Amino acid sequence: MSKIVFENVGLEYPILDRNRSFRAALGRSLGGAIRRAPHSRHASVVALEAITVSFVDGDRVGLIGRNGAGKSTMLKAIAGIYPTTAGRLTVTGRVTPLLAIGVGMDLEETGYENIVTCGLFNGLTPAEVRARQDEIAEFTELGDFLSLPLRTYSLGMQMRLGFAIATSGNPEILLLDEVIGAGDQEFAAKARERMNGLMQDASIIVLASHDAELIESCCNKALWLDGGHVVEFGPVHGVLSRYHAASAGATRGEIGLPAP
Amino acid sequence: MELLEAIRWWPLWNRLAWRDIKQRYKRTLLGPFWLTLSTGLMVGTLGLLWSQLWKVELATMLPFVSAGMIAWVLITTLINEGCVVFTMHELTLRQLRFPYFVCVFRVLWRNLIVFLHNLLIQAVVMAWFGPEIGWAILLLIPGLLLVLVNAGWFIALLGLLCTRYRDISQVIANILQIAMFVTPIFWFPDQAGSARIYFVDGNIFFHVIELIREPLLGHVPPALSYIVLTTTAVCGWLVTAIVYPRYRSRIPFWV
Repeated sequence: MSKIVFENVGLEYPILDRNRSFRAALGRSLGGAIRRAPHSRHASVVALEAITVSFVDGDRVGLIGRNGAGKSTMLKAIAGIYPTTAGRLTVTGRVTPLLAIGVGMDLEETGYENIVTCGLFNGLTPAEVRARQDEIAEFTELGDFLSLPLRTYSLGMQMRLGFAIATSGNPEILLLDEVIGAGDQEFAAKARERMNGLMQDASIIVLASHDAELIESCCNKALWLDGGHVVEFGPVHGVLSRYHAASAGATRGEIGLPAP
Repeated sequence: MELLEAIRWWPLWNRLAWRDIKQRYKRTLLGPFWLTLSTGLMVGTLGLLWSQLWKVELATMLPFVSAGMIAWVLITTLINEGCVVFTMHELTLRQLRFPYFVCVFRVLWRNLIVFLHNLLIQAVVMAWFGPEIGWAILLLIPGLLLVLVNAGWFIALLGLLCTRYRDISQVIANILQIAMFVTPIFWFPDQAGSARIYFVDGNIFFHVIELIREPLLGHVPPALSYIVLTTTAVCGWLVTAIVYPRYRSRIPFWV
């Protein structure tokens, strides 16, 4: 049984650069709420604030919202990469974050060595890595290239390896920041197939995307974030249509047309 | 708690440490022994020079300088790399979930491996000039252990501080440069005379070096050095236990 429970969760980033005004301006244009914490000299970005929501078995949650609404931060918080600064976040189940492909890979190491290093970085034991190694190697279709250093690979080949490593194993909770694909057409089809398989098997999926069609086809629920707050959480169609209505209204307002 | 978890992740930091060493000397003939060779050359020339300057026999000077330098190289690289312990992991810290102490252990382990390579220099020097090495050499093990235990908390705190305030690593590099000359490495502790209290007994670097140098020379390190380093280990880890948990959650944002 997998479960993700946010109880009044907040997450703030400290901003450290001296030229704070520039940062503040940049932050505003991206949408995150910037403020000074009451008892701190430093400005911080409030990326998530007072989030209370829970995802249970069978949920396919689409995260929607403008850039900087907190979608990626929410995924990283669930993955345990970013520590939360308020409230309580409980995650039950094995989490597989497919947020960045190829992190931890090293250009000087061979493909096989990278499979081991990345596996260890993802918290597998050496035995678990060994158990998956052949399957990963086969999936990449890189053959003898796997014995060569990564720097001899084309970008597409590196992507293949990264994808194969990231998607090995069977996740209970799958975290996605847009849907990842990899490589040439032929491999992309294979990658899509594997993604579909993973998404079928996972008990919870959280997917952040700007692609409404994708969200509609993959998800049964949607969570609309804005400025680090939950605007609405519920069945995917209702939330999406209200989100679209709101963003269309906002755009009209910005260019000076009267709201309908 | 994080400490214990990070220990369980040993396959990762063990692998990363070895990878660092292998890669630095990839496609070279001598591999990691290049480091040994360059340290050895430095020890050899400086030993010769100083034995002339001080009018001390080479047989006394060279083993002393080489043991001192090997210890000093360990200390300075530990500290200098401690400054960048988290920043060098920027990409992975921002994208992956693993205990942050893995970074610390990687630095500790890598430097211990380099140190063990460098012991070869001492072996050569001792074989050439050295007196009989007695059981005191075994004290190298507890000495090293004590040094590494201290380095552990120091690197964790220094790493935090340097990640937050990037200027600090410059300050540290400067201090270390000066420390090399005011610490008895190229001169004997007794030569400090009335200034001994400042440059020798009151100098933490002296005590760290003694724990490694004296066993290498076949002597027993002074009790004072054990007392000092044990005290710093206990106090340091206590401070770390209080300070580190308060700031650890900032690490992925500071790097």
